[in-house]
Amino acid sequence: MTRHFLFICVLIAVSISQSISQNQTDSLFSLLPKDSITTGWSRVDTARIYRGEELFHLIDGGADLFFEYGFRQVMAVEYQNAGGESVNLEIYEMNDPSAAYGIYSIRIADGATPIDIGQEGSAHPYYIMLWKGKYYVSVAGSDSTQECRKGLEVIARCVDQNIPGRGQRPSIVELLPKEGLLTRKYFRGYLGVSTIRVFDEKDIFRSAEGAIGAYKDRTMLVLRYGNTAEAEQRLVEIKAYLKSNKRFQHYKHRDQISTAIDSKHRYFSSGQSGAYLVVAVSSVDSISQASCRGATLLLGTR
Amino acid sequence: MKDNIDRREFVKRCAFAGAGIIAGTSISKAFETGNLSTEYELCSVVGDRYFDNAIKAVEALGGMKKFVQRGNTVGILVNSPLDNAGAFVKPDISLAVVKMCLDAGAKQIYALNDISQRYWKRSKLSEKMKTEIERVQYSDEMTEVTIEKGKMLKKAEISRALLSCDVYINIPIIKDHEGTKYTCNLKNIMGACSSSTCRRFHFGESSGLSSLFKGYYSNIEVLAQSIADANLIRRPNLSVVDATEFLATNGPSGPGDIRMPREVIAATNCLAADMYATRHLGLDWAELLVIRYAQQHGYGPKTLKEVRIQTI
Repeated sequence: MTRHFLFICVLIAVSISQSISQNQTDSLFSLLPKDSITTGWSRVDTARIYRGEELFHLIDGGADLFFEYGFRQVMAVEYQNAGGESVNLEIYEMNDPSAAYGIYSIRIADGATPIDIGQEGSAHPYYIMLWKGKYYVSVAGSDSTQECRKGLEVIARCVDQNIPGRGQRPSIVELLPKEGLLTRKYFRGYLGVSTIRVFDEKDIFRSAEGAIGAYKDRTMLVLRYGNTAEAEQRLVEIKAYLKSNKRFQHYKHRDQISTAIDSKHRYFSSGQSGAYLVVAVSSVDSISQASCRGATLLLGTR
Repeated sequence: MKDNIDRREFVKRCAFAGAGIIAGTSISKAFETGNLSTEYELCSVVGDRYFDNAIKAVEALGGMKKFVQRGNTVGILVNSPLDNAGAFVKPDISLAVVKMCLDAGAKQIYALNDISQRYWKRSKLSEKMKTEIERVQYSDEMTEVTIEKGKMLKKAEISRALLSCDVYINIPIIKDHEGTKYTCNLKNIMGACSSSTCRRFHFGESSGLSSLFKGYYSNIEVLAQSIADANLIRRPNLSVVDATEFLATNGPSGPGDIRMPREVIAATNCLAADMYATRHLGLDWAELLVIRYAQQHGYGPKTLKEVRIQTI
């Protein structure tokens, strides 16, 4: 009797999981441009879906960043035109809109041209990226010819139109000081934060969630922890890191702000406010300290 | 590991256990030194003709005949699987290596990872060099080896051909990598490992349910040390690096910013080539964990002053 019951339970579970999986696949297929719209560009083969760790088969070590944010599945399709040029379309379904925004914000190039596709989109010489809702989309050409760039845009616009709804940016990016803010990024762990190439290969922030702001004279980070005690503990560790790491010299602690200079003559200042940590990096000591103190005080008033 | 092994098993292990724990000193030494010469040589050729420049770079090291003898089997490890610009070795460079090996009298060329036809077709030379491409065979056979001197990675499942071939040529592309900051020769070894071994690069020898909750790259030191350890399995006899057009951001898969120094590098020591090539990414090799750990294994030069560098 028990065996029969278990067998039926397993059957139901398998059937539910198959049904969910089918629905997920269907949801991605519905985002693909219709063949009639992508005139001049035809699909080379059928669309491929990669779920979970299968992402390694598509983008190799690039998968790790997606896992850090929360990845669900991706659809990859290749298009080709009569001239033999190709365009690779990848539609990533992330766990939530913040994850999609985060990936987009980290991967956007400094000199990218904003483009009115998706909730935010950017055009680069041979590719277009966008995010909308829980989707991050990359459309990359084999070349940067005019024909190829036209193809990229047609395909990107179709996908944008097919994605239903929109999503919210993570609230932490709004905590960066607005004045002079050039670009902002959102991270959920070591890989995201390491893309700015300021820290070494130690996860000194212990995989926190946070935002990075680029300014003309400094880079700023705001990190959020579970509670004040956790943020305090992380600050103690960061201070110890600044004191003990050979990269840093002249450690000082004044008015709740700890500062040290690294071997590339960059001043690192860190401070804490409640569950938040603030880090400011600048080639000028006073800018590093003042911006860190300012942001910390601002967070305290929230 | 069981203590008693039969003769057949012993012979098999001697033939394939490159890391040396079973095979004994002679095989272990040969694998670990790659080229028995301790002198580090590197040649860099800059220009638009990538096929010709790969040949020029190897010629400057003494030519392929210095590395490949008539009748040898050659294993090539090409970073070829990804599709975006700047994410894969230009096929012209790989084709140049294949041609040089065949001209030197190689009996067989083994691809140590799966190279698709789609990859070769990206080269305008692919039609003309169809016969050469057909001579490159892939076998998905894997074998487990013990890495005696490994600090983090003690065992690895790796392409059997990597251990059995007479000559091993590494053909990576230098590019950005979100985890290790760069990828080139040393990290390319992951291309010859099984996916279960690659997982261990992320989590070390500890596995199981807890690793699922750690997240990827929870510890870059584990990854970097594992890469350095895996390179002890067998050192390449020759390394030919694509530094022509590569991803400077969003690596290893892209799309991202492309840098185009149009450089092909050939080197007798792959650590030397990595140290030399990382300048293209604006990185200081002394700060890169993978390089530091490989140096601690005595894998290559401590500074670039120890390397005889030619530029053409």
